[in-house]
Amino acid sequence: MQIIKTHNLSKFYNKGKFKALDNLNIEIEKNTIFGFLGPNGAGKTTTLKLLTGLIKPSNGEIWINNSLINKDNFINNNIGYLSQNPKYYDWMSAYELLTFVGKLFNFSKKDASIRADELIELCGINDYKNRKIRTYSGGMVQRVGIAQALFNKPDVLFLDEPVSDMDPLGRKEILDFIKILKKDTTVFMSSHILEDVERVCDSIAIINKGHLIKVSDTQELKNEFTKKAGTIEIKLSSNKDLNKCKAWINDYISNKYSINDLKIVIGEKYFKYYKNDFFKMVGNSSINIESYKIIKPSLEDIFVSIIGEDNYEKSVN
Amino acid sequence: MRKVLTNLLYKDLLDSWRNYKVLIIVITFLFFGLISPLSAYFMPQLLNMIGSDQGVLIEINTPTQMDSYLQFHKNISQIALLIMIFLFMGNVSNEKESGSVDFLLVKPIKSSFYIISKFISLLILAFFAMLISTITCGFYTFFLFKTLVISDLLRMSFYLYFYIITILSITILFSSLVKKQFVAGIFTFLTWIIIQSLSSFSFLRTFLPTRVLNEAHLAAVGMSSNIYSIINSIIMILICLIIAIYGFKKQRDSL
Repeated sequence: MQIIKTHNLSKFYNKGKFKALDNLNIEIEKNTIFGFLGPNGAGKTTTLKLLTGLIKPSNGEIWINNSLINKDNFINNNIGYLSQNPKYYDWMSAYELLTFVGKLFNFSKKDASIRADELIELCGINDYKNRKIRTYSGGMVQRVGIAQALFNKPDVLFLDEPVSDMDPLGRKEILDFIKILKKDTTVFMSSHILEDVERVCDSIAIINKGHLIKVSDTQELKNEFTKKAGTIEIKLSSNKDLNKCKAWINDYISNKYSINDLKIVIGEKYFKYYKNDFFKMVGNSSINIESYKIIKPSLEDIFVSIIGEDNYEKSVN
Repeated sequence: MRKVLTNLLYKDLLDSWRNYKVLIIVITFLFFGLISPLSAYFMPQLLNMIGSDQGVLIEINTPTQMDSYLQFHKNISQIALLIMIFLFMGNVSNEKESGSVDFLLVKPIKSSFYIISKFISLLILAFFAMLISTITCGFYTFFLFKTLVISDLLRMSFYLYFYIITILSITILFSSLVKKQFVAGIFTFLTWIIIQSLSSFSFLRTFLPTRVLNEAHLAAVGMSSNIYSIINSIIMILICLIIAIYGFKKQRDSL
C-alpha cells in the first residue's frame, strides 16, 4: 500500500523563473525506508518542506495516507519531521522539550512524561536529558530531533539529513534505530551520505536540479548498474610487468583505463570481451600479476554516474 | 485547541523567565515605581541646590502626589516601554531566523495560535509589570506625600497599560513581518515616533491609538478621562495582530 504519493509536485520561485522542484511524481510503499538523494541544491529540502506542509507547492498534489494534502487540511497529527540542522528552544532540556511536544499533541501530562522517557531511552539521551539543549553537541541535538519527530508515533517520518552531524558510532546507532522504525513507520530520508542510504533504504530516488532522475529499489538499482558499470583492477608485480600489460591493453582498449602505482583500472564494460585474450596473453608472456579484482560499483559510483549523465544531457540540451 | 494555546503560552512565558526578560522587566518597572515619587518629591530641593550654587533663586510649587503620578507616567510611557520593545523585538523574528519555528509548525499548530500566544504572553508580562510598579509608586507616593488618590493612580495605570500593549502589538507585527530582530525594533520605534508626532495635531489625536496616553495624563492630574479611548487601542491591537498573522502565513506560503 502506498502511503506517500505526489503528482506533478512543483515549487517555483522568482515568478516561475527558478524551478526548485519540477513535476515530482513518486509513490512510496508503507513501512519502507525511502532514501532521497541528490547533490546540494538539488531540491531535497524543498521536497521535504513541501511534504511536511512547511511550504506550499506552486503546483501539483500530495497524498499522505490516502488524504489529499492542501493548505486547508494540513493538520500534522500523523507525521514527524526532523529538519536539516535542527534548532530547538535551547533554554529547555530534552525532557522539557519532549513533554512540551507531547502536550501539543494533546497528550496528558502523565502520558507525555511516559512517552518522553521512553524516547529519551530509545534515542540514547538519558544521561543528559535534564541539561539545557544549548549545552548539547550537534549529534545530541540530532538525537533530540529524532525523539521529538517520533513523539506522536507518526505514520510517516521525514528526516532531512538525519545523521549528518554525527560521529561514525552515533551514525551507526541511529541508522540501526531507523531500520527498526520501519516496523511501525514509513521513513522518508534525505541524505548526501550514500553509504548510509545504502545501509538502510529499501528504495531510493535520485534528484538533480529539481528533476527526479531515477526511482528504484536500492538493490535493483545496484544490480542494474553492476551489469554495466563495474571496474577491474589488475595489480602487477613490477614496472616491467606493468609496461607489458599496458602495451597489450592499449591495443585493445585504447585509452579507456587508468594507471595508479602498479595498478591498471579498466571499466568492466570495456574489458569483458577481451578478458580471455588477456589471460592467454598473460600466460604466454609470463607477466606476473599480483591480484585481479572485479570491483562492483558502490551506490556512490552509481550516483556520480547518474548525476554526471544528467548534467551532461542538460548542458547539451 | 485551547489546550494548545495554553501550552504555547506556557512555553512563551517560560522563555521570558529563563532568558531573564521577566527579571529585567520587574527590575525596570520596580525601579520606575520607586524613582518616580522620589524624583518628584526631591525635585524642588534639587533645583534649589543647583540654583543657590549659581546665585539663582528658583521658585517651584510644593510638589504633590500629582507630580509623582506625572513623573511615573513619563517614565513608564517612555523609558520602560523602550526597554520592553528592546526585549521583545525578536519575539517572532528570532525564531524565524533560527528555524525553531519550523519545528513548531509541523506540529498541529495554527500560525494564528503561534502569534496570539506571543501577544498574550506580553499582555500578562505587561500586566504584572504595571501592577508591581503601580503598587510601588502608590506606596512611595503615600510615604512621601502623605496623600494618595488611589482612583487616579489606578485610572492612570489602566490607560498606561493599554498604551504599552498597543505599542507591543506593533512590535509583534514587525517581528512577524521581518526576519531580523533589530529591523523589527527599528520599525516599531519609527512607528512609535510617527504616532507620537501625529498626536501633536489635536484634530488627529481623537483617532490615534495613543489617545489613551492623554487619558492617562488626565487621570494623573485628577481630571475625568474617557474610557472609550481604549477602543482606539483595541482596534489598533486587532489590526496589528490580524496583519501579523496574515503576513506570517503569507511569508511562509511564499517560502
